[in-house]
Amino acid sequence: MDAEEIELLLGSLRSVFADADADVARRLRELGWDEVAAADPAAATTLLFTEKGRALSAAALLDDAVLPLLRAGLPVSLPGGADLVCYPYAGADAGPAAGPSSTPLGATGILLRQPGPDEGLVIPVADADGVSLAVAPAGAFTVTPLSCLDNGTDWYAVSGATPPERYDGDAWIAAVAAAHRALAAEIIGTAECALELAVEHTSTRRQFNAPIAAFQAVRHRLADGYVAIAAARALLAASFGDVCGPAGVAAAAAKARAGRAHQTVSAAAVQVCGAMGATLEHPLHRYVNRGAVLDGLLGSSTELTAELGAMVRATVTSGGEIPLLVEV
Amino acid sequence: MTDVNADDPLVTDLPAYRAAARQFVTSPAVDKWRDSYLDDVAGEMRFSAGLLRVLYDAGFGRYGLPPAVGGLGGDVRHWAVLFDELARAGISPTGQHSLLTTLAYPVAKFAPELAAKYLPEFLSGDAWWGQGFSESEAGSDLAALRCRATRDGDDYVISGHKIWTSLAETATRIVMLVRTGTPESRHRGLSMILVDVDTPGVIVRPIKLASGRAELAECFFDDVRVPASRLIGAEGEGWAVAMYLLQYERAVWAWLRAAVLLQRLRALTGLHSDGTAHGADVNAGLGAVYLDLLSLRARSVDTVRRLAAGQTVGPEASADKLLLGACEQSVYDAARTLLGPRFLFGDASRQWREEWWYSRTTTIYGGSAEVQRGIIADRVLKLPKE
Repeated sequence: MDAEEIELLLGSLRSVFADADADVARRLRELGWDEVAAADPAAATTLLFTEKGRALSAAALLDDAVLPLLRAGLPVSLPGGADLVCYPYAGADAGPAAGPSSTPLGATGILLRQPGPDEGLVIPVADADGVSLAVAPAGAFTVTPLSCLDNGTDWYAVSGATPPERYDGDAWIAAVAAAHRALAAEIIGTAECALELAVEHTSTRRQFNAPIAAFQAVRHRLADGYVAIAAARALLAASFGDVCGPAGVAAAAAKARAGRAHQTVSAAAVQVCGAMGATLEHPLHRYVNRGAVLDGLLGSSTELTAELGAMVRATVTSGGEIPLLVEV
Repeated sequence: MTDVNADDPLVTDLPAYRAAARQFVTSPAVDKWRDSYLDDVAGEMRFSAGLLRVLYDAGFGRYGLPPAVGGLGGDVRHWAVLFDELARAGISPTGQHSLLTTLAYPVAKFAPELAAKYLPEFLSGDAWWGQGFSESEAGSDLAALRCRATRDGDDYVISGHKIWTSLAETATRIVMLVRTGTPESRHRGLSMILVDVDTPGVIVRPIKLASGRAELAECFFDDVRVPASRLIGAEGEGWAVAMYLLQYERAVWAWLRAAVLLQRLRALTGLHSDGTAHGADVNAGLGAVYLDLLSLRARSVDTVRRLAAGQTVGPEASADKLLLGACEQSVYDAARTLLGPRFLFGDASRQWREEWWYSRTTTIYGGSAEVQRGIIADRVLKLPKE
């Protein structure tokens, strides 16, 4: 995709996300986004989810990225359909963070939008053989709005007994990788906006007869924020396509790095925006909160980093080569 | 160079070059350099010169530079591949490689005759060069340097001194940034010149770092007469040459260090393969280092490819430099934290301790982290000036 095409697509995406009441998924279909994604999945995912993060959109686009992959393991006709993903939630039942719920009979998860009672939830379940999928209509569960750090989301907590019937979950690893890349892009979008707000504020806010961005302590924190985002962007770009290494490692690393970049940028931005940045009136908190709750989906930066460390350890112990993911 | 085959597929087929290089660096021909570490820097440089010779004779140490300067063709990506394969085979890319891949390209571009004459000996390990930029009063503020070169007939006469010159103790020549303009001319009055260390009036005094290793040196120049034909670029063009050089330092050298650091991560992990004591802390620590390494490589790969494609690397390369410094310190801080008493005590961890100290300098040399942040603040984020 060349720079001109990217600019064109960015313009379209921004107009889609600018309308808060729009049905984003439908607008994207009208835009022919499926064709864009088929032609260049890496650029399409990065553009779409970065813009979604920047726009603070609450649309459940992650489901659209994940469900087509999971459907490969499901029967063609299901009584309840496969309409929403029940994302593992290391809450009360504390399943493995990046894996699916380890409590097969008490599904606990997060939905990214309110389901209709007949809509089918796809629930990943960890078992001895890996991951399998259960599917059941939302009406069979208790679904309650999720109290959340970020008031701008419209997420729901699901609890209830998972039906015993299981379907092939071999696609779960690929689905998680796709979700990790999408979430990384979205987190990067929120971090970019937080950094831009901080640059804008410190360039105009004057103290001691100078814009505060003229002070080295402020400049260096913002530069570190830029570097963190640059690193996250680079790792995300490297995580698409034909990377050398086990499935999912590159995507998990991209999400972990994006989460860490968001933390670095948030801490810097909140500090240098001063008291104004800590008010409800100032937009900064929205990006700080959104990035943080996205970091909590499918394994936080901290959890994924420890998992990567465990993978490195297991690899070296077994005499294997540490996956480098990137070659020139 | 008559020994160059214009149809050599390894020049254009990078995967084929990788496969061939991998086969060679895993062969007994280079066993001597596997997992080696010498306390003494001068001894280590002489030891690694043997590796350059073996790589040169086998051809693998000659890709990446054009035949006109003793290479076999190809671009900087050939070096990146070679460094990856060496490190993968347990062989650290050498001090000579660091200097060669930084200095060869600016010399080849700005002084093709000097490059044709002198780079072959560098490639083959017979000689290596230092990079003389910093001075006592010109560290982060490089444009304040005062070491003077005065034109006298067909020569320049150099007076002054350089400090913090990496690996200069054993170097045969030094690529020097000198002042040819007025003292106030800042970056406009600088020139780059190639000086032989055995010229009368040159004195090199090694400097031991806190680790005890003499990684650096101080160089004194007392009316040193150097032919004007040794200029790299025109008189007054020194800053442009230095900026051109920095692109290679930011790209290829970062890639080299990432390869070395990966080796060290592997070694550190190997020391934690037994048992599950403090398992969670170890996983978190090693995972963070791994993530730093992946970020560095993911960032650096783009910069290396852009250089290989003949594009210019701009101020955003300061991010590469900051990521490299962070990664260097991340590896050795993790070693210090995770190894605990095993880091502090005993001969077995001498290398970890010495390298830990060296890693402290990685955010100081080559443009300090503060300077890099300033460049990003000014030229990328476009913040108001200090």
